Amino acid sequence: MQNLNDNELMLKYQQGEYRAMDELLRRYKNPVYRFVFRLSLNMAEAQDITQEVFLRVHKNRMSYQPSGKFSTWIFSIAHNVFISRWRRQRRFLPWPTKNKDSEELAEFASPDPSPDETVYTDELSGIVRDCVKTLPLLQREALFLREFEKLDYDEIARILKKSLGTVKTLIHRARLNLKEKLLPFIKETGGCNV
Amino acid sequence: MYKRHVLKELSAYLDDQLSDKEKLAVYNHLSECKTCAEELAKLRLVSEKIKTLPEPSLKEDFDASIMSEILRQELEGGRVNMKTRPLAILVPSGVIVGILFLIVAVGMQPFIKRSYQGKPVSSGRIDKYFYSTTLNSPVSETSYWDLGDQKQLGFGKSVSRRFGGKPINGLAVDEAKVLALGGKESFRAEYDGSAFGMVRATASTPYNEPTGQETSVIVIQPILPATGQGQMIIRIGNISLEVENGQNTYQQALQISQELGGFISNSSFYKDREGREAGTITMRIPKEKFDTALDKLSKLGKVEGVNSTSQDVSQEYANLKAQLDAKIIVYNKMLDALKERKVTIPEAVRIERELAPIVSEIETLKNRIEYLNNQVAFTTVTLNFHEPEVSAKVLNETKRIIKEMLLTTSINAIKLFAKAVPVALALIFWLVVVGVAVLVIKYLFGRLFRR
Repeated sequence: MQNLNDNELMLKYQQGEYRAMDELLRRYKNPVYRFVFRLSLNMAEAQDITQEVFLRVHKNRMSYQPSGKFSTWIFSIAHNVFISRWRRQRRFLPWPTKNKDSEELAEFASPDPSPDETVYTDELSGIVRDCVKTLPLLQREALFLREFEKLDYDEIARILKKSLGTVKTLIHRARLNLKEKLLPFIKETGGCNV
Repeated sequence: MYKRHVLKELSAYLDDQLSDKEKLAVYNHLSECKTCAEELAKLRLVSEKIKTLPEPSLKEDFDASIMSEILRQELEGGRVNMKTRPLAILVPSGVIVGILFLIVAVGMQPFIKRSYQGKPVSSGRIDKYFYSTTLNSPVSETSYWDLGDQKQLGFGKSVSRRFGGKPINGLAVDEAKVLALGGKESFRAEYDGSAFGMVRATASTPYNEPTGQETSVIVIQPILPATGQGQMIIRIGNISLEVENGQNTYQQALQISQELGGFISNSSFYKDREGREAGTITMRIPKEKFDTALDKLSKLGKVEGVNSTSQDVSQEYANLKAQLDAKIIVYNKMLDALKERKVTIPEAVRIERELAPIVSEIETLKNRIEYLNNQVAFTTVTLNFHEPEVSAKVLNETKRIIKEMLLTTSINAIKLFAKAVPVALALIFWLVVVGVAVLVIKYLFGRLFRR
């Protein structure tokens, strides 16, 4: 199974070869989980969403077309699941939304670090997280898919259901926004050599 | 080469998402434009710093939870393909079946060990019977077995064969109940045919080592059948009914009593303030007709409760009989002595003085025996009945009144309608007359004014 590519694994899975799912899980569970976690900043929620993503993969396995890339397909599922949950729960969960919302939420945040925040081991990663939180959701998604998953712009466009130009703009604006917010901190901590 | 700044293209350039031509153009521009080059450096730095975000991993059991959830969904949908993952499904199933088999086997162990293992120590006359077994369960438990119908344990089966189904001393042993158990892990039961149906069991070491070190005694007492023939059993039945008509029920109950050869020992019949009838009848019914009586009486109305109790007076009856026999023997001997003049005069006086209370006791015993005979021969059945809170009679009366009211109302309505018709006709007539008159006047005035 390890020698097969993603599409071949999905074809096997479509034929009822359940071991193919083990391999797909091994390859994609953590990328999906991290992607969702970076968006939600909530470990439990990210795990739930990841589980739902794989259950949807199982449920919709017969509709999978091997013409595209599996990574595009699974990340588009993750995007859909996240967006639907976010819309349903944004009134109740402190998930980052727009800048204004994030700032408002920050005022009510507990001064003690939550269990989810313990993963930010150094000061810089905490600062980066705070800066990323202020980005609009689509910018964050596009940026993460590019930076961490190394997806091409056209794949990101398919995942987010946007045009190629829009994705290009989203990623660029995300970087510009981050640059404005992040560079002052980097200069303070001496991490900037520009 | 771009002459303008390429700031908007820098991200795509950084991500290597430009075409070769665009890439070359941006590259050439960057070599000459310090602003754009600095901007690219900043963007690259931002890109590096983003990667400092943590990369948490899922727990080890995540895969298992997903797969179990998938399997659960498949099972619910009935779509499990056994061929696809035979080991993953068959192995857990096999383990579960094995565990269940072990549980059942261990659970059956006490029953298996309690099956017949004993050997008869004497053949021919049934005086003693030995039985050995091992009890894993607490020895103070209560156990049951049949000695008659051979349907429970091998123990009962064997005993039944040896007894040949015959009663012991006139007492049919159909079932035996362990009242108390002593000993620790084993016991030995001894059946004594000479005892009046009593079965004795002694706790000791297993029968294989009959050392006789008895530690305690188990008394197994036969449970007599409730309707056993030859037994002295007083039966009392109570039945409560809700009936439609109290008087009819009373008459029917009397009739049933007579038909079954019984008689009424007590009865009462009354009406309450609302006119509902109720009563109580106590009847004596021959013992063999007891069940028939309850059955027939229960059909007279809606049964609210039935209870039946039995009191075994066999022992008391036997004691009374024995006392009576003894008293009669003493009485006869005293009488014989007096008749044959075998005693002296003072002794005769004493005997006569003692005879009086003996006669009295004999009479008392006879009366008691007669009473028991009577109680056993004729069972007591008490019937309580009452009409329902909303009696059918009251209901019928109410219905009748409502019907009458409706009829009266209907008649009155028809009468009123009949009276109204002439008035309405007259009114219509006069309206027509007035209308015609108005039209005529209007016509005449019209002609007059035209001129």
